[in-house]
Amino acid sequence: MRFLIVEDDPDAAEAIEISIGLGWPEAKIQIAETGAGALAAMAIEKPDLILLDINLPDKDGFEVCRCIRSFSDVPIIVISARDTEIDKVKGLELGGDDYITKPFGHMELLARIKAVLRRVEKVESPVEDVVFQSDNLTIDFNRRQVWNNNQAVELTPTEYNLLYYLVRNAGRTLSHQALLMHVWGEEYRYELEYIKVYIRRLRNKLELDPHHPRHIVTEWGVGYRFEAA
Amino acid sequence: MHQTEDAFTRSNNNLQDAVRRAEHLRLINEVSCTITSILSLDELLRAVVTSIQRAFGYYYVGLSLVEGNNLVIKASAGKYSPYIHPEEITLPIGHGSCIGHCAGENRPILAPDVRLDQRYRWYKELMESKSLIAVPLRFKGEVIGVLSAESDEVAAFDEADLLLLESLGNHVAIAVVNAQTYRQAKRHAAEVTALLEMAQDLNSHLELGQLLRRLTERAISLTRAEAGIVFLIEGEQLIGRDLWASGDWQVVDWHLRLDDGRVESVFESDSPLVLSLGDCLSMLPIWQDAVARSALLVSIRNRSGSPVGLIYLCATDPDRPFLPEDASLVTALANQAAIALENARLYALEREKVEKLRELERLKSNFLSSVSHDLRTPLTSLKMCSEALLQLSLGEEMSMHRQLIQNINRNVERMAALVSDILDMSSLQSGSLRLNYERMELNEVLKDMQETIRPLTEEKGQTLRFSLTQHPCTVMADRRRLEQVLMNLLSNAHRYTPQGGIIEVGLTEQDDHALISVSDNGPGIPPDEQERIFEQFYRLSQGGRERAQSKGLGLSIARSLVELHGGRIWVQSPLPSSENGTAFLFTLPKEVPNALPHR
Repeated sequence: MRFLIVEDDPDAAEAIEISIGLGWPEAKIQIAETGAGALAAMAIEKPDLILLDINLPDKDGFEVCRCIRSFSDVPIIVISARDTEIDKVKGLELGGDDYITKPFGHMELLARIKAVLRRVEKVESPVEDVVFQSDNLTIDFNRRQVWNNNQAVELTPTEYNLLYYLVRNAGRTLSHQALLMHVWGEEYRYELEYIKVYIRRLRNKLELDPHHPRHIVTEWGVGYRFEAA
Repeated sequence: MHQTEDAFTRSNNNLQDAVRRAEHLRLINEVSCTITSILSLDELLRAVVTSIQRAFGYYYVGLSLVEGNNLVIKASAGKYSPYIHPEEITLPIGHGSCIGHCAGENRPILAPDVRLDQRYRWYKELMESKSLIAVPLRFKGEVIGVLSAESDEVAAFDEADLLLLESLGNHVAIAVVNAQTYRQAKRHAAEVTALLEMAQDLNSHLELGQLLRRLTERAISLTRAEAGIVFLIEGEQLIGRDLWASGDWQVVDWHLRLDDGRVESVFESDSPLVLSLGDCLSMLPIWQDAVARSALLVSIRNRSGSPVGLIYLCATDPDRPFLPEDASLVTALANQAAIALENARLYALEREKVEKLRELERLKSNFLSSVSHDLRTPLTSLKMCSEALLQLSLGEEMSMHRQLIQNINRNVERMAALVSDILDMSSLQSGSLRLNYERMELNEVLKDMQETIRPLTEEKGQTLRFSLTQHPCTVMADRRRLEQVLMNLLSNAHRYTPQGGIIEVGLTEQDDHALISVSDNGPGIPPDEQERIFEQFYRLSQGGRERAQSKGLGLSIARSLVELHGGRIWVQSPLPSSENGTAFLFTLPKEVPNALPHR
């Protein structure tokens, strides 16, 4: 495993390094103190996971996140001292796979890293109905491919897993908690920002009119439901 | 025979005189009847001239009234045109015209041939005029006007006509004074009403800038001035900022010295000052769109009589200078304004104080928020290192190490919780904290909380009782924030309840809301402190509850979060039928207040 820690505070970077070292003794860990350093390290090392602090001396961590996302799918955990919903949503929308607020502990960090890796590695396998067709949407569960109006759609593993779970339960309203626990994991059950951001992403990719969705329907205060045409 | 003829002629003349006198008396009576029934001054003046002209068939009849040092022709009637003069004409008293002489000398004038009379003033509309009589209108000996008649014949009037006109004049004078008194009374009543209304209006403006503009507008509408500004004394000078001129507001910054002669005279004499052309221009440096012909300066004084400001109005119409009535109206307005100004000043002072306090509060909040943010990174290092150390010190021989590290861990947690509370408080105060509503069943939420708090209460030998509802109790709320409120209340109860004490959590469902209570049998909270415990950083002054590690934020956050949900939180202490114990109760609406469905 290769980790890249982007953190300008040397003590915090060292603590994270030790913590990861305890979880993955064989891991190769690199530390970058700036956004530019992070992008340079990305080019040389090919990390399996990035821990990215938002408060960097040279550029905004959100900007670094967006930049990395433009050329790489590497899982990114955003680390931030800001804990407002706006910051979380921003971190996730710019391509963060997870958002962890300081101060966090050794155990929490390891659990988060494991959960992100699990999500990336886990891709739902089909049970039946290998190809699903509804209106403008075609999903081939076997090949894990999605088409919107015959155009292939690129989905991240988490987006795919969320769509898979919604479609498998088409017609049933799934609560926020059920979706969060199933797709993200038990420890994410109250992270409503995650589900909001990912539902929006799916709608943008799959709905003909994302502002008036026909497939992924909101049941306000409860959760979401997939409606087949 | 000759004697008989003479006697007959005399008798005939006497008869003709008697008939003429009778006819005059009848006409006087007719005119009097007409005019005494009219109370409107303008209507009265018109009726006087037309009825006299009609009754006696004069070429011209005019009526002028004294205004200041002048006579103003108010109404006229003639054979060819009912009103010769379309506008009021002002004549000097004592010279320049026959009627001016009549008023100035306070005696009737008879001019048998005006063409030979130096006093006569010609008008192009009255070129046919040949002779004139004029009588002064008197009230209590004072001349209040002149009634005149003209003929297109030479020597058309004699002494009898003069007597007749004098007699008519006496009736007219009384009718005019009556109508003037009536008009003044009416105007006075209207003024009183207007002033009352103005006082209410002015007092409704607490913001100083708005008030000054309103005051200027009122003064202008009272006097029909074209421009106006209100100055206030600031230090050694008068400063005016908003000028109304040319139909719009202009922001100016005019300074007048308090020792300026005109200002001094207004402030020292406490009477309004009316200025003419030259004076005003020097005082109006910026208002150049029109030429000011006259200005009115009225002081504004506070309750102790000291000047606080100046109302300054300008008029451009040379025929309509400011009159004493304008000055007295604006003085009355200034008296009303003084009270409103005082209020506005007090309000501004209070607002300034509040702003300062708010600013301090904001600085405090920003400071706490920024320090708390900055603390989060070192806290992360501390927390990670102590937890990692704990993982590394698993051997039995390390028990002392473990104890020390656990102590570090606990205190790092406390610091982290404090930082988190301060940041929550800050975002609650700034209104940036948003709730993530979802529908939830409260019995389930409370059962989850029971599992979380149980290890703590068991450690202290406390009994934890939950009395829930038999049926599901569903509400719309932010789960994480609701748990935060419950955790605050439960950890308080755990902290303040002695070893072996009882903590009870209750849930009841009411019409449109749920009621949750967390009670304990620890020491109570004195009644006078029960409201204050919800304030930030407030800690009880005495009793058993102060010793624990409270930071005085938990209840304040709990209250803000409950209120953000549209609920209410309060405390009961001591518990009914007990000497101690405390219960915290809060309500949660079942639905989102003013719910707006959103995606």
